[in-house]
Amino acid sequence: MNRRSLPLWFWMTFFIILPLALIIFFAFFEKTTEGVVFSTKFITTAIRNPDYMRTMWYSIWIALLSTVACLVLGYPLAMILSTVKIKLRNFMLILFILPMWMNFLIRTYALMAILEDNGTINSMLKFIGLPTIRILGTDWAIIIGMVYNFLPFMVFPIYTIMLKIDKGIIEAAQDLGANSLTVFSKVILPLSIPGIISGVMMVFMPAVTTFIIPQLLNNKSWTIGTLIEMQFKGDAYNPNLGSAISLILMVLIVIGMSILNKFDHEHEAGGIL
Amino acid sequence: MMKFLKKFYLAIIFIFLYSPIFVMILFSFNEGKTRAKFTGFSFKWYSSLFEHDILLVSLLNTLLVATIASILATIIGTFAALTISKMRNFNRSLSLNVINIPIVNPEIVTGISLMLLFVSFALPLGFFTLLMAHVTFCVPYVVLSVLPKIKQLNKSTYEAALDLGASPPLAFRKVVLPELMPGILSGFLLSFTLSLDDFIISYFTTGPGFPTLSITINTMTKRSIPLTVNALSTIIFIIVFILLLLINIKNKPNIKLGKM
Amino acid sequence: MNLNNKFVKTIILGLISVMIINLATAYKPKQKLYVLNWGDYIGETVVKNFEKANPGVDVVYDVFDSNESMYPRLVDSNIPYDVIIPSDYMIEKLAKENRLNKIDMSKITNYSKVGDEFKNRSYDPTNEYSVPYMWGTVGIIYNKTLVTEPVKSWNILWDEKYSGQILMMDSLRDTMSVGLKKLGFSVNTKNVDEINAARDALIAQKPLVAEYGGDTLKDKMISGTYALSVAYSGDAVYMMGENPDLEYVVPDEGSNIWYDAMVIPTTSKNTEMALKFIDFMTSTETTLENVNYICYSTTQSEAFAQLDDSFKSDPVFNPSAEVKARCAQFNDYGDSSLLYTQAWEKIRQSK
Repeated sequence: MNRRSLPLWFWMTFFIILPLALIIFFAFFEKTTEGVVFSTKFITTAIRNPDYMRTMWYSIWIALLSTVACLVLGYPLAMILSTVKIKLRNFMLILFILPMWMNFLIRTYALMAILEDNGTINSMLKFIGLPTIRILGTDWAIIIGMVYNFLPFMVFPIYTIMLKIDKGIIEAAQDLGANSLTVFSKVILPLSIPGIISGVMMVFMPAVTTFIIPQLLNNKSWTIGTLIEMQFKGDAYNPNLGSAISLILMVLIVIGMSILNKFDHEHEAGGIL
Repeated sequence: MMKFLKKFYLAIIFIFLYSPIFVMILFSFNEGKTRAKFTGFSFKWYSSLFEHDILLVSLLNTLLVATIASILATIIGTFAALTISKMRNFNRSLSLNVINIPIVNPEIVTGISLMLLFVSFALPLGFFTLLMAHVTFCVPYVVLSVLPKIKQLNKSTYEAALDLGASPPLAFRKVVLPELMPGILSGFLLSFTLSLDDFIISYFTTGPGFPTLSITINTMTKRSIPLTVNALSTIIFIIVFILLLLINIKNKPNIKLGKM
Repeated sequence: MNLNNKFVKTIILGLISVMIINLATAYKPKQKLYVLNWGDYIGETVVKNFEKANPGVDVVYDVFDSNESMYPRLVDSNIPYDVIIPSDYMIEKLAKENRLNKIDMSKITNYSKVGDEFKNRSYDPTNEYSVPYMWGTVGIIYNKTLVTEPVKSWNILWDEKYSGQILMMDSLRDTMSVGLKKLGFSVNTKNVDEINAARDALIAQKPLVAEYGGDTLKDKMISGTYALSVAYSGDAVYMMGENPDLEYVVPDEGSNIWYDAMVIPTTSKNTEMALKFIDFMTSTETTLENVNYICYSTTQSEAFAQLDDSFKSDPVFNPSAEVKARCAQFNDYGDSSLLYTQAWEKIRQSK
């Protein structure tokens, strides 16, 4: 270890490693009247409590549905954007990015106004005489909210990859007699897989752990994010248990990311950008 | 047929993306108090916004933190990238993995871990802790932006400058820095954007004296949301739109040369 | 030329020093007073009025949604809160944990105006820690046009007829109490079977509930889209003022009567100013402003006497002795906190 790299190590230790160490510490050590005591009860509660497990699966399930929705909606969008003429394309990219540059809370609040029981959609339904539908307060609202906020994260990696696909290969395939469907399934789709994986990673991970979108759009059942938040700032104040749950969440995410990384051969510093 | 389908699909997506925004802009001009019914046209929410409304204060706070944090993060991140680029083998991969942690970790865990850090050191949660937290989660992105540029550096140019008599700092400033600039700039922009938009990490690391825009709006969603939020959002929308247009116009010459 | 230069330089130096001295004397470092209160729980200009009356003081005003979410803020954030306004059972808990400063009542000049029924209560029997603020009941607010039958029991919140039109509070104690009262148990029970029975009833109710909310419920009921909601009496008075179709009732099985009071936590660094603030809040003028804005019932008798008749004769604002008799005050859960927390977590995580 170099003397010159000392400041870097110091910064990383203090701001990255130490905070994580504190989470591990709070997960296993408890302040009692006899001082600081080691205990596995927080970790075992976090693992064994059936409600926590169910909440974890619920969060994963919603995130999965949202990711699939983003993929299904975003892939065609990325394809279309990559084939549109340059002039129009830049304008469209701007239009597409614009909502992302407004604040995250503002975007989600704007959705609430559309989806709520006396919001825009229901007002329009009432106007033409149809019965109103309950959207806010259901899981559909959360999925819509996730797609609304995370779609660009799915579209951009795929779009970037699509741009790089050598038009020559497509032309060669067509020359060899492939129709559009075959060109797509045998050429475009396989080549776009790194983009898909990037997109999935960038949508799925935040989707599992975000708590604002579920809280604003369907607060009836907690997601894992709210569960953890409640241990630190809410009704169920128990920072030790919260740290234990966070620790488990971290471990799960690290495992998940390593698995996904195995598929992504192009992983480099800069893979995300 | 295909062309029509493409256009139709694009249209649907953009309708989906923009209808919430348009409804929000519409209700910013509402005479009435709620976003449920449009009762008349009025500018009152805009004027009330400028009467030292908490939203305006929060927006200024957000801009302040984003500016300072991204500048600090860019400086720290660039030096970090340079330091890492000189490392080899074990040190290098260890540093890279550690630097990657705030990116890979769920935001809620980063936020909570930083909160635990500050509280353990008896720091009151407020502007200072918020700033440190923002710098912490921005630095890794700067490193990731600058590192590839360092890789692409032409070492011989730097050595040539030294040979010609330049001192290392001068050579660095005149030769290395300009080549790294695109990476540094994109790292800075990325940090600024992330900091502006952040909610989760701010939620755990700021205090009552220093609310950011996301925090204030979140607090309002737990009560009732005044339409001043709509007014502010409309203003932000217009500003961002103009900014993006300007950037696009500035970049136009490059694009004509660029792709196909 | 030399002379002129020196002359000009001296003038400039002189001007600069005058400026600096001016700035230094004009700049009074503002003292900060950290106040932590329920959301929507103070008059519109009260804080500004206090700052005007006490120049040099900058009030940092922070809000919370429930006693339970207030506690971590006090304990965990290292913020030197000076004045907090929690509820009865939370004051009891904070006092037990030695987190409150004793209040020198002789410094609270308006203390004599506080009604006797609000002093010496079980959470502060010797009146050392708290100065009463507002009080009220918890009950059901319903929309007459959507609920045409008489509302007398908590059971109506479990009626399938109103599925999707029922609103509940996102508050551990208040919602658990609804479950407990529906089954005829005490709101302070430590019996695990009773707690779990209430929990199961609330889980069974979940599919009928449109939302668990806090202050957001007010606008929702006013909008006329929802049929029933659990509400604090003060909010009910406000809602009924905005929408005459709404009615409030304290069910026959009984409910909760609550008292909020101002305390000075041990984190306070400015107890002098904290006492002034509490005294200011207890003054008749400020109390009237608070009540007229948030519509909650006041503990201050002199202010009460000066209120509009529409408040005084309102049975929601000023419940009869008979209604009060079937309401119970919350006590600190103490050892059974964990049972309640687990029950609440289960309710909030079930489908």
